[in-house]
Amino acid sequence: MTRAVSSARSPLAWLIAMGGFIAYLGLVFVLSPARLSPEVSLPWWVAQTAPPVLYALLVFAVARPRSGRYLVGGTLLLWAVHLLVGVATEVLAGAFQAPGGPGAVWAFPPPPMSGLLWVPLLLVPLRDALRGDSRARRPSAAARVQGRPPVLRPAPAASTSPATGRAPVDKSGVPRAARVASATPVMSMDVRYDSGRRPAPAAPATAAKPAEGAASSEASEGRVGRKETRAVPETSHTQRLLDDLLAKERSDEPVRISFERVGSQLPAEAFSVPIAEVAAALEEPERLLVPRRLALAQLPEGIVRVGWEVVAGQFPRPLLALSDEDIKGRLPNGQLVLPLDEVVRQFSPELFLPAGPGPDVRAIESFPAPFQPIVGLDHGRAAAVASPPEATAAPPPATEPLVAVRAAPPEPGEPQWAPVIELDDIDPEPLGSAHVPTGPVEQVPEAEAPSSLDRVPINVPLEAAPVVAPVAASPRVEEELSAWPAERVLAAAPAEPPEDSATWSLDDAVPAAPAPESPELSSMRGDLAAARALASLLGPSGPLEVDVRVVDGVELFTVTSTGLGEDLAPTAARLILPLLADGRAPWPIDQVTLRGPRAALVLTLLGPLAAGGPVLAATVHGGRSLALLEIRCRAAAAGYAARMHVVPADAAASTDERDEPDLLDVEPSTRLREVASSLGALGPVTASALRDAEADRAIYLFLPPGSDVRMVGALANDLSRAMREAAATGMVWSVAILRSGSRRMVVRLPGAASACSDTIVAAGETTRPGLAYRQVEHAAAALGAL
Amino acid sequence: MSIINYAKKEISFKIVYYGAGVVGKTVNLQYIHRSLPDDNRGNLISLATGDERTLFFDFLPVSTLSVRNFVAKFQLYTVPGQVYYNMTRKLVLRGVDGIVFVADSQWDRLQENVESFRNLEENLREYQYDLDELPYVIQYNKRDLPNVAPVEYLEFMLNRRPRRVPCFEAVAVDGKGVFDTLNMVSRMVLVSGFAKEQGVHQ
Repeated sequence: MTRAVSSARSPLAWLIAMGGFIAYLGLVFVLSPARLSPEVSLPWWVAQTAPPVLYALLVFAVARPRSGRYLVGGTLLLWAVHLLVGVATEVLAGAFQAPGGPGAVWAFPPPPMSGLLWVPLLLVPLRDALRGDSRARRPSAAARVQGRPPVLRPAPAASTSPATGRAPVDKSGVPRAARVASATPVMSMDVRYDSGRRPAPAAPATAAKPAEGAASSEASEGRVGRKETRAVPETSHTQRLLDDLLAKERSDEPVRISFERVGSQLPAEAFSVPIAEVAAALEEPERLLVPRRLALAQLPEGIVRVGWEVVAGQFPRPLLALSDEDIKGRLPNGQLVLPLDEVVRQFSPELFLPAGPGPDVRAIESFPAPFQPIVGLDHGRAAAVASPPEATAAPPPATEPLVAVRAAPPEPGEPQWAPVIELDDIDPEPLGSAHVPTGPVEQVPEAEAPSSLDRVPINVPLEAAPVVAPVAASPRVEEELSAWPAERVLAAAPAEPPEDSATWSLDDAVPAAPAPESPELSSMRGDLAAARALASLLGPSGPLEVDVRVVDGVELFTVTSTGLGEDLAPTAARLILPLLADGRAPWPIDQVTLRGPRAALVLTLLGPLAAGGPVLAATVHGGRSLALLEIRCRAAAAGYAARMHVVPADAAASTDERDEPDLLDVEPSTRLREVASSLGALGPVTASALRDAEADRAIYLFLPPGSDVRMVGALANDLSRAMREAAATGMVWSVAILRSGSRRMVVRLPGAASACSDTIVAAGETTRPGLAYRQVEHAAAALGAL
Repeated sequence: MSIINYAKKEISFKIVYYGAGVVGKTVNLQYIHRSLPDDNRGNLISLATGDERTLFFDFLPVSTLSVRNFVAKFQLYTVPGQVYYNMTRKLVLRGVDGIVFVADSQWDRLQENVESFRNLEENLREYQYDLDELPYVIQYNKRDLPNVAPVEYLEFMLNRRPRRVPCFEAVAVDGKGVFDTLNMVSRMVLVSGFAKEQGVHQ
């Protein structure tokens, strides 16, 4: 690990130099009386010019000076020392010799030799100074005052005591390795991103205006480009802020984190006992101890992580069922994310107060406030909630437009300064291979706009164009198709959309006049064509593989992003679809979304399950927004239903055939009721709790008043079992979202891979499903389930 | 950059509401649109997905009374907050005169705020804009929610550049702080715009 202390400030470096000098004195003391000076046959000028040449080479090779100025300076410095040593050698040799003996400096040792023996050792302490960048390696002023290093970085892997099986822990409960590591200085905040920082779209170092006195000499000399001149003060400003922050913090008390809030991040199989016992057996029961400065150094980032190796020593080794490497490997980036609120509360608020003056806005006083809202209007939350019209919530047609746009010519009465929005050069980055048409977009007159123009449905005023994703059939499908006459394949399933994509629709996928063939072949061909057409309507999801399967009597059109297993959707569908049939769901479900770390699956019912579906299963890579995909799946389903004249299932789900769920009622805790109030996007909900006695799991439910709690709980319980079953096969789904019109039911499984974990269920009518999902995530976090 | 029409005595500014996804940028514009008199506002164009996420941008033109014999007009934009729409964000930032950085006050959104702020800096840098010279304010939204971070900490994260800027607590869905934010950034933009104009003519 690189030490950030200048070599000139290293005592060891100076000890080495001093040791060399003492050795040199000893040599003179021993050799001078013996008169063992060698004869030098070189001319005297060679002896005088050889040292500077040699020193220049040494400075260049060892110190790597950043400019010729430092090279010359270093060489002259060493040469001057060399001459001083030569003079000292004469004096010392004279002192050690008998009177009348040869005392000339040339006698012993020859001046080049005397200097060359010791002077190069000066490079050990002076190499940083001769390099010319000692400023960058110098500890900050604040750190010097404090006498401690400036910035911290997460610790490396803690060593484990072979005797106890534990990492050594100091008196404060913090592992020694962590304390040592936390005291390791790092000069740039960026270094913290090295480990564990998840990729960000654009996360450059914080820019800063060239601060006072921060302009580098290079910048002033005009030898550095613009970017470089900006980068130097950037780092220095950030560094200075961090140094100030660390200088303010004088306590070494570790930060104490409730284990229940981070324990769920650890894999359940990491421990040989239940997690509650692990918490009680910690070094400090129920608490994890984190080095204070390690947490402090991360506070500017809005997230605090700690590597497993930092806290591993606090876990009794006998309770661990996996090695440290295994546990670390199962954590995201090998780190635990600490609850930020707990961390921040343990620091003084004064720590975050800015040191400088407040914002200077004196000049604005010459301008009055330009905007005054109309007084007396009801601008309350009710209006805001009511504003999203049905048109917004309703799925747009399959040919959802992608923008495009240029303002229409101003209409009479419209302000002449209505802007022209040029988006012709927009990068279709989020649009994949979609075709983006250009054309005018009319601004909707206020009288025509729905709900006071809060939202202009994007399908109304804009020129619509379908989004066509590259669709590729799976090898199996291609194989089947290849067995058919080519003209039939082309007639049946256009692999590529027609050039005029604006006219491309589901109709194109269905053969207008099928050729005579066997019923099975005809059916398969039609299914493949329909599946391909559906896939083409799903938008820019990257290359897709299309397949048709039959799962438990239900036809499944699978559309899978390349790189994901082709069995992912069928396997999940086999587990999930039975839960949606035969009236087990309290509401008729039209779409199910499963989210996991690796993949996401959107199951959209195209027809009644009792009649064999079909079901559209779109599988894409995880970690992305699914809103658009869900909308397009529903739009594709609507198009399919219209084309195929699908008779909708009976909306009233029969409950007669359902067994009474084996769930025990549990009195909801106060905490649960508090969390219920945070789920505003789902409307008013009440908290309930059930317990699956057989599996010893709790189910926390947040449902609208009057809901059949046990029925929803039974469905959620079955769903969570199915997700756990899927996790056992390697498919991890952590969230399931069931859609029924404007109603959403979110089932959150804290750890899908866990054998014992509680389930959180929230349901209700919502016009903001994204917000609802996020609120459920918050609720799960608040309940310590994440 | 501001556009001045001397013939019509008009000056136009572009203000961009920037921030991470689902922080309330569009809600700000919606409230402004609802609250301004008809004479002072145009139509709100909003391109959003079904779950209310901005797909490309929102646009709202508003105007004010005469300022120093000029009619000041502001074009208010939002950007899509999701990380993968960066090209769109960059495009919307072109020619920006003022910025409102909207931050979500909730604990678990703080990292996204920081990343979005850095993304703003990076995108501005590509246009050779300097955030320390550009008028901008910070709005800490959703202050009505229970799990919000203290303002001191939010300021510590987002407002610790050499030049500190005004910040506002807001509950945009209720309109709290919305016009305070808009008026402040508008006045800062006016100061900057007219100062540049005077510099040109001196």
